[in-house]
Amino acid sequence: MGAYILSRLLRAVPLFLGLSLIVFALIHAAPGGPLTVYLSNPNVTPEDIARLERNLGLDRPLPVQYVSWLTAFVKGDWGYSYVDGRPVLERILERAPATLELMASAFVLALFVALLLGSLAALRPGSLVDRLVSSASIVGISIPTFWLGLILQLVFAVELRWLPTAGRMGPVGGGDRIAYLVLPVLTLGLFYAASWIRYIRASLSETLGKNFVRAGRARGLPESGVLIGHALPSALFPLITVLALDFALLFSGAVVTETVFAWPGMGTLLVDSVYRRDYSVLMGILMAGSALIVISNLLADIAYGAADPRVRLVEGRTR
Amino acid sequence: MTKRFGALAFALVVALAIVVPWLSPYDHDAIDLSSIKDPPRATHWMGTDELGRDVATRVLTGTRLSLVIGLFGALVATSIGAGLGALAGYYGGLVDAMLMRAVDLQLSVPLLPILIVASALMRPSVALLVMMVAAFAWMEPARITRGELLRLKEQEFIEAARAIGASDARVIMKYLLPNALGPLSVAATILVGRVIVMESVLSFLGLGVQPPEPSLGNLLYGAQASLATEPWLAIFPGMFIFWIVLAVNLLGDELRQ
Repeated sequence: MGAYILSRLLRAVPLFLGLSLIVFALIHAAPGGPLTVYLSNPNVTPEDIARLERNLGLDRPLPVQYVSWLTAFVKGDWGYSYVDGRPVLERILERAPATLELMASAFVLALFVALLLGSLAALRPGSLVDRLVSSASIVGISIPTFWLGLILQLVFAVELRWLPTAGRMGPVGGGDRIAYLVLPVLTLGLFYAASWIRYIRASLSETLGKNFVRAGRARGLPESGVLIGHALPSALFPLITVLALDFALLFSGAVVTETVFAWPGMGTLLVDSVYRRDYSVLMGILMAGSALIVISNLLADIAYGAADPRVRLVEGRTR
Repeated sequence: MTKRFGALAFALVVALAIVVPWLSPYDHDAIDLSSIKDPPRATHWMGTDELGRDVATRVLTGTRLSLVIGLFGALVATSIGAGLGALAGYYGGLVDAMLMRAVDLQLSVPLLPILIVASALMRPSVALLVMMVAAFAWMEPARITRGELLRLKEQEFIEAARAIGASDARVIMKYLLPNALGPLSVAATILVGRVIVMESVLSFLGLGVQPPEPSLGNLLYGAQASLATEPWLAIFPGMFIFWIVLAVNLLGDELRQ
């Protein structure tokens, strides 16, 4: 297992380097480069710009800049915000809990709903329940997230006044804290619930036809025992990879959801920084998002290897 | 099950997008200060906006643009994917390994944040915007093409083609790719919806298609502020995005069968 984890770690490194190259290239390809924000300011002279470039090391060759930026990044020195001069890492870390809270809640809710409805559909293929669940899931994956957010706001906050329109309560919010969380979580979670239903249904109905499931039934196990003890664990292995890949999409979805609900997380920070051209914060968020994705993929690989010894063996052989 | 529902729904929305702006008595950017923020009724069946413009005409003009963006984006992404996937599947080895790493990399990109930053920094035209979205959407077609070619290239009809002296390019274009068209068309159909959603999210944030040109996304840009007073401004444009995406997703399922 140790060797397997090490091999996965070694694979994550080039992935992270590739992502950092994309982010770095993106910011430096922009017309005006990282100092655009100062170009339109009449009080900043070309001499000032030249001095800033020298001070920030922006006059050095790009590869040199990339290496020094990446080294500093890994050491935790993410630079300073152009807008308020505070360290970028500090600004991102104070927003991260809100985003993680939103993502984790949506993830758990979506997984729960998908497991429940996906299993129901797989147990009775072709039944009314199956057809209803399948139709609901294709509708669910087709609703654009940001519009769903607007419609939920319209119905539950504006018309019915059951829930707050937007914003977030701090840790002292108590019950209100949940009330603020409900609509954003539903908005973000629906797409994933709908898309995982399809995977779970397909995977489970295939597993239910296998011999070890029939053997369980033949031994007289109750249907719930067959499902929970035998079929589900085996059907869910392949889902681990899907869930990990979808975690990358979940971060994108969180950005949109946060914007609609004014949720004070990394997504709203990203959009604010875009409008204010705060390059150092933008780079920081893109890198934090990439790191989040690489780490979640790594954890999924490890979980996959732990759940299925065959994966570790095959990996060992190809190396 | 209704077998052709997706195809019908898609044909209907295409027809509406062509016919409505053309037959409509209103121009999509004709300002009418005598009927500002009118709720939906017989003369304006989706209401009017803050400048008295007819929302129905604007929504369907936007639908037109979204459809063009979606079809064009899906076509570009599928072509890139099919090309790269064909090279990887046919030649294998280093080319293949590099492509699969690139697919891994692209699948790990925080896509929407990257697109948001890119479109804010570069202020792209609509065409460039579509290319940018396509640059992050070619992976699925690439994997499909690669898989199909790996499966097909060892078969006898390919050996026969090579035996009569067909070049690699000819074998790929004439014999291998046409056989991958079935699964590729399913992936391309789904991509139409994905490209449209990407573009409308960017426009919703004010970063995509710029007003006064109406797109389904930028029509929703100001709609949130007036959600309580003019909800129709938020309901209709999104409903059409939903309609198109649902139609292409159903169509994808129908093509698969």
